[in-house]
Amino acid sequence: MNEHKPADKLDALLRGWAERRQRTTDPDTLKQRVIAAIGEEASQGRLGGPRPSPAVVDRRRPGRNAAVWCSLGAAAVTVVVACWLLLGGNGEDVDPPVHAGGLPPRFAWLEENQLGEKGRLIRELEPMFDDRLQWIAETDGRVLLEVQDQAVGAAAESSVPLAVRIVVVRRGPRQAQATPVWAVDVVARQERVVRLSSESADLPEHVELRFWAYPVDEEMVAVDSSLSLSGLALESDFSGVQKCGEPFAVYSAERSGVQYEVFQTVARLDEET
Amino acid sequence: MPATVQPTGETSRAQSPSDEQLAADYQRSGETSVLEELARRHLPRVGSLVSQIVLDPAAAEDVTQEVFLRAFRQLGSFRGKSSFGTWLYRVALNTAYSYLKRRGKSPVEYRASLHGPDTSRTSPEDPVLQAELDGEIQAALAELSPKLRSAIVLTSIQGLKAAEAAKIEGCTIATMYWRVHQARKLLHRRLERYLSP
Repeated sequence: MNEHKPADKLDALLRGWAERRQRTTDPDTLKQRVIAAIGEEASQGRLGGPRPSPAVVDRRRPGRNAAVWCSLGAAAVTVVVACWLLLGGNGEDVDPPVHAGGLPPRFAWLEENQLGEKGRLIRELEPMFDDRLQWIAETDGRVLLEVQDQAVGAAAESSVPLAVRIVVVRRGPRQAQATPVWAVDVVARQERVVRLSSESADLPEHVELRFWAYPVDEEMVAVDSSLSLSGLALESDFSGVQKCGEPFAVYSAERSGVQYEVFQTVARLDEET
Repeated sequence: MPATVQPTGETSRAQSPSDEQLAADYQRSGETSVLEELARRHLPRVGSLVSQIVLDPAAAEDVTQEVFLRAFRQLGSFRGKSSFGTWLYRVALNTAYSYLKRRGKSPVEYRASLHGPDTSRTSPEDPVLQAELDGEIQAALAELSPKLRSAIVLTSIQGLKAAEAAKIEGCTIATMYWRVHQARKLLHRRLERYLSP
């Protein structure tokens, strides 16, 4: 039925369920039933038939045209209200948030050679830790690892390793260029929850980082992340979809003329990188 | 190769007219046999899609029948802007949504065990264990809103690309990404014990 191989365990679980479910239905009975219903509907003339010629607006009957315009007007109002409800009333139908931010600075990008190194790093470390490696992070000149008690199934071929860079930048009132004030690089497989805090990792600044990402296809990645840096009174919270490999401004604030921004970059570490 | 909305009927398509040609033929001739051919081609995929959205096998058959009748009544509105398969899938989703709205309650009757899976049975082939897992998956899908459910069904089960799924749903790709993301997150949470190593 499907041409894609399951991307991960959840897909495999769902497809297994669908296939078992399919086996319990009798396609022939359903086919006969639908064909019979079509015949019955057609015999009663309910399925329409050859397409009628296009309708012509009769210019000699202004009353009728007015009614047409009223109907169109009402339809337009309905569409506007529907759009408004869609955008404001129902969270699940709203497009992902787009955060306005400045152009990403050069250091927010993950360079090709850096991606290559990170890809090699995770592929070398996973077997060393018997598949118990949850994530690797690098911040403030320190490398941090989280290792689970049990194997996490990290090396599954279908689970994509991801490289993440989160950079906090600051630009003063007379500064043309932003300067980085805090940064972290993380390497983890998709859908791995990354929790990094100064309590657990003994970092100099009070930091709380939570991160989770899932590549929805080759180009886009869905991300949930939150970052708190108490030293800068910065609280960033992001849940949305961003383009793979491109820095995305997830936070922007100005305090006393100083601009703070958080750029988040997520890139796939596929085998060829 | 990316999956697209193509029929899975057993008829060889090499020599036969395309869906779009058949639709145009019907609009010219009004021949019912043309509609029957279209139904034969698309029934397997439409039937499985509806079943996965509605989650009630008996109702799914009624809804599937309704999809074809509704589509063929509206065939005049098919202008070939998208493929016939995409258009038919859209009709299928709308018909399923209407059914769920009418029904107005959880489409699943199975109640998942509050105590988690029975760990005394370990074989994945165990039919009892399998039925329990299927019930849990069905209950998890039933907890999703219809839009989130169809997003995960179209992409993860039916194997469509997000762009194709968005076209069927008539939403932007970003919205579809967002729905897939939300649905996956909720399913991961709900089915965590089956997904952990």
